[in-house]
Amino acid sequence: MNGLQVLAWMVSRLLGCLRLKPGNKKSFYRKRLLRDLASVGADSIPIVSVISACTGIILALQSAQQLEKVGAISYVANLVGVTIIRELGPLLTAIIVTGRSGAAFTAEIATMQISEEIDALEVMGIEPVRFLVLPKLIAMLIMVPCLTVWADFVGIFSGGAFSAIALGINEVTYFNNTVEFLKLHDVLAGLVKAGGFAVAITIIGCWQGFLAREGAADVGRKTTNSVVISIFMIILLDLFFTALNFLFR
Amino acid sequence: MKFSRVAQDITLKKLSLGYPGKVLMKDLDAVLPAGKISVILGGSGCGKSTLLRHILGLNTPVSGEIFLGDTNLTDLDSGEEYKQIRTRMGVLFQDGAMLGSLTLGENVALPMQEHTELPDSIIEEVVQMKLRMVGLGDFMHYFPNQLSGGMRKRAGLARAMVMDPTTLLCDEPSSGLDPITAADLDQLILKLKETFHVTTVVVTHDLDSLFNIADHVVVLHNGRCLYQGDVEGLQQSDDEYIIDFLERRPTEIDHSMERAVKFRSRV
Repeated sequence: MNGLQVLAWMVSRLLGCLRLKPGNKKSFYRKRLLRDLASVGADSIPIVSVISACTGIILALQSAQQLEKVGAISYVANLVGVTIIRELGPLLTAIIVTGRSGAAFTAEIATMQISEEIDALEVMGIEPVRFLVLPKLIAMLIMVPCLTVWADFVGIFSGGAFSAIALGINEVTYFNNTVEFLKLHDVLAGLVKAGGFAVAITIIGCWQGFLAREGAADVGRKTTNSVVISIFMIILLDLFFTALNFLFR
Repeated sequence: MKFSRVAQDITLKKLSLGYPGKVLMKDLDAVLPAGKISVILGGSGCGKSTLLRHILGLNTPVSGEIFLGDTNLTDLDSGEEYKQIRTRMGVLFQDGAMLGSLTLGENVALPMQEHTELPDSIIEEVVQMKLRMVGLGDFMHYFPNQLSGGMRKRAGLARAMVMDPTTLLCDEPSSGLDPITAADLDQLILKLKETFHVTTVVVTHDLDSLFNIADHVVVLHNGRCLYQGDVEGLQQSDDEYIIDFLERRPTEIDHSMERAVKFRSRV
């Protein structure tokens, strides 16, 4: 099978999983889901927090320099809030998750592919896509939006704290401005983006893993491909969602 | 469709197999008898493992048919039918193919959890029993990477046998093992056949394994079947390749070496 055929095979089997009876409970699927939830979500919190905090401070610094010139320094809050909630929160979270989890998905599946573990699943009558991809997809759909909300909160909070300490903006004014200026629509638009990114990262990561054929070197190649293609797709999806948001504002 | 729970012959009829653009084997006819150990013998790259993958349904033949008893495996295109028949087939892959993220117990339990509605406590008991059967009763909570190659293969056998299959397929079980561990594994395969009367197919190029376990031998070379029958008949064969193989006599490397020496003298 060529690359696109493997992608079609994987997506069709993934869609086939939707037809499963909800009562069909298997303890090992639950265990795999919990493991993926922990690795995608909980384990990403430190790095997401640090990067979001830095981004909030950078945005506050950059915007303060420009807004100070026109005497509108109190608008730092609006700029940091909107930029993080609408754009940088979902985008940076997705890029971090691509590097951590997307790459790990590819490496895991590619290694299983070359060590005949996927074949072993097939001959045991266990659907590899259901066993490997579905728990990852569910974990990503739950955790990427959660991480995005956390990144938004940390980014805005750190921008506010920095503005209060270094720029002398009153912290109450800062948070009032943020709350007043942001709309629920902005938060939802960011979460929709996060969901789209989660699907793209999982599909691309797992797809590249299933494509591995030629030993250990191929695992590295496919992992690199997975990260590069995922980041490219995230940017394209971001453009698409932002354009959509602009049209239906 | 209901599939038999009794060991059955595996019949290959005019089977041609290979990969896109390359036919490895043409018009292969063979019967791997029920309840016996059939050894598929041949040099590296002759298509032994590919044949096994075709019997397992992981690859589709170029032409021809594979029967398990009366069931034509090449006709089974629906996932559900194949799923059913796969519960009757146990497979030991070349390196065990144990899932690295699961413990031995979880690996062995996997087919039962997927195909039965048994409670976890019963599954755990069966798993413990199967691991004890292969001498790994104390290693249930170990991960595959904490075990030696021989132990991983024995664990692979426990997983292959957990659903009480009627057919056991082993891909190079002795490869990469020291002679004593390989002989232990051969004894285990022999014991499984005698205890559970499974139709066993072992792909190997290991002559010690061949003489230890084979009831029936199929020799493959250059895309065709050179011999099928019992071990005594094989030893009396007058085919040049079989004689070379049984006497472990190098052939192609010798010629290559001669050519290299001639080339070197010209340089």
